[in-house]
Amino acid sequence: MHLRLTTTESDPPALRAEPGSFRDPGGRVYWYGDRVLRTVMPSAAADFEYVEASGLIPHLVERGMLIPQTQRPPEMLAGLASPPAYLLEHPKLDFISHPYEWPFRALQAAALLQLDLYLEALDRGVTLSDATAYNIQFEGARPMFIDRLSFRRYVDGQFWLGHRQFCEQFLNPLLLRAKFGIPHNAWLRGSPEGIGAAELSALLPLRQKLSWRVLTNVVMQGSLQKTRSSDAHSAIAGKLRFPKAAFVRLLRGLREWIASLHPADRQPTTWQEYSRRHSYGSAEADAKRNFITRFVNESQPRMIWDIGCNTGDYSVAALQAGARSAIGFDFDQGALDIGFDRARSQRLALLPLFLDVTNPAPDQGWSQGERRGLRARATADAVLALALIHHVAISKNVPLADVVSWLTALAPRGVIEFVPKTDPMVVELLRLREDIFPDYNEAHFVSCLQQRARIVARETVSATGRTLFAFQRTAGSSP
Amino acid sequence: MVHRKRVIAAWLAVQLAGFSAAAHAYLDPGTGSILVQSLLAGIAGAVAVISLYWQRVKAFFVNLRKSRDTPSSASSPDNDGV
Repeated sequence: MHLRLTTTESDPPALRAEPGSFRDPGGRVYWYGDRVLRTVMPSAAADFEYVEASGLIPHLVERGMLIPQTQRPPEMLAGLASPPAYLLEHPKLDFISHPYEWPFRALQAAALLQLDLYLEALDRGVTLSDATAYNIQFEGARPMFIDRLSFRRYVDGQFWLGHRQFCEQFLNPLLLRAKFGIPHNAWLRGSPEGIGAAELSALLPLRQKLSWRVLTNVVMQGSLQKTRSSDAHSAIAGKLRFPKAAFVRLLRGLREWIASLHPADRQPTTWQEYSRRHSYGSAEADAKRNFITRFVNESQPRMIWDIGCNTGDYSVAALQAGARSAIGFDFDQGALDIGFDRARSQRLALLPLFLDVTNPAPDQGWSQGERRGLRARATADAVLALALIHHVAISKNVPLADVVSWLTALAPRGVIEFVPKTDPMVVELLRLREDIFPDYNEAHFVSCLQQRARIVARETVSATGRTLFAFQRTAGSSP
Repeated sequence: MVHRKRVIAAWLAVQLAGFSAAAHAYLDPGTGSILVQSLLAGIAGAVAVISLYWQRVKAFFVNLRKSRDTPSSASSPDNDGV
């Protein structure tokens, strides 16, 4: 099948189907160069028209809850085996993040958006065909729903078909941290469709199971799910109706419950504590902020990635200097939650995400194309890596040249901090182990960096010899 | 008893009204979720019936009180009669 967009351009970009958008036969997302197009197939046209007439869409878009849409003539998209009834164009998002990269607070904000959106929809006679967390994306720390096709006509008495999906992708991962202090990220990455009710239920102690909300949404849902082979149960599903009042009560109950959840961490995480103990008002921190400000002023990056962002101080410095958006990455859950709350309350264009630098999110899901890995999404204009490389090179034994190579592949320019062996942090890292890193020194770091980039600025920012390097990747070394 | 029959009739009306399957439901809602929602629907139905029933019980006593009270005291606070 050859897809093309009817256009007058002499050399139009290729049109390709988004690999993550195949489940709902009602429509699909296509990429046309940088443009995002969504088809609405004839089977979903009546629902689409009903929802358009309900007035729900502009109501949600005005409130920033839903991505805007513009109708395009369906004839624009030629070459599909069956032509769409409607064609929509959405603005392209700067970055697509996955729920297994979100910190607890982000997953919680996304869950609350999903429920708020549903309550608004039901109020206008509209329901949703699913409740997947992948339908939500972030602009800064503000969640936004991106799947227009999920909205369908509500018929009184209909059940909430996405309830199980909501529980598996939002509720159960949040409960994992709220009940046990275990972050959802690793489990959800290994099982991107969610955490099953039966699995979570098996972990819960009896007293937790006695709460009505846990009993119904987790324990009973999990145990009754096992009866799926029984014809009697499927018959029940065909005969009963779910009154709207009960539907609204279920959504409101979940909203109230999820809003009240907090991580059950027994003590502050290492780096949460670190950011509390180390004053960022120090001369060293000021010098770093000034260096980043100059770097941003000179290179004018649109999107920066802050690898090892902690609570986001230097992302904030970059944003204040004029960067349009920042994605912060860290592996410390406590620091990420603080960073997310900060971005939310100060309305910063900063999204803190979970990342283990030595094990970034891979291409995964169906055909390994459904959820793209970190490298495939590396569209940053600049990368910041402050107080990072000693953790990767020494704690994780990654050769210094490889660390530099990985960082410079992420963006065409950036700032990397080199932390020498004489620094107390590195001394601490080497305290209980043999120093097997004869190459870990500034001269070697500089030579590694110069193989891939031009050093455009450098400044020593601490008495212990910590030095910042601003680089610009050289043409021959692009990834 | 007449009341009991009415309660059962109301319960059945709540439970047996036709369930129309959602158009274009591409998602498997899961037996567990549907059964839990059926339970919640049943509870909602029962609460509706009980509340209807309770309104009648209340109305019975209010009427009883009204019939005993003088017209002037009917609008005064609770501690005046029954």
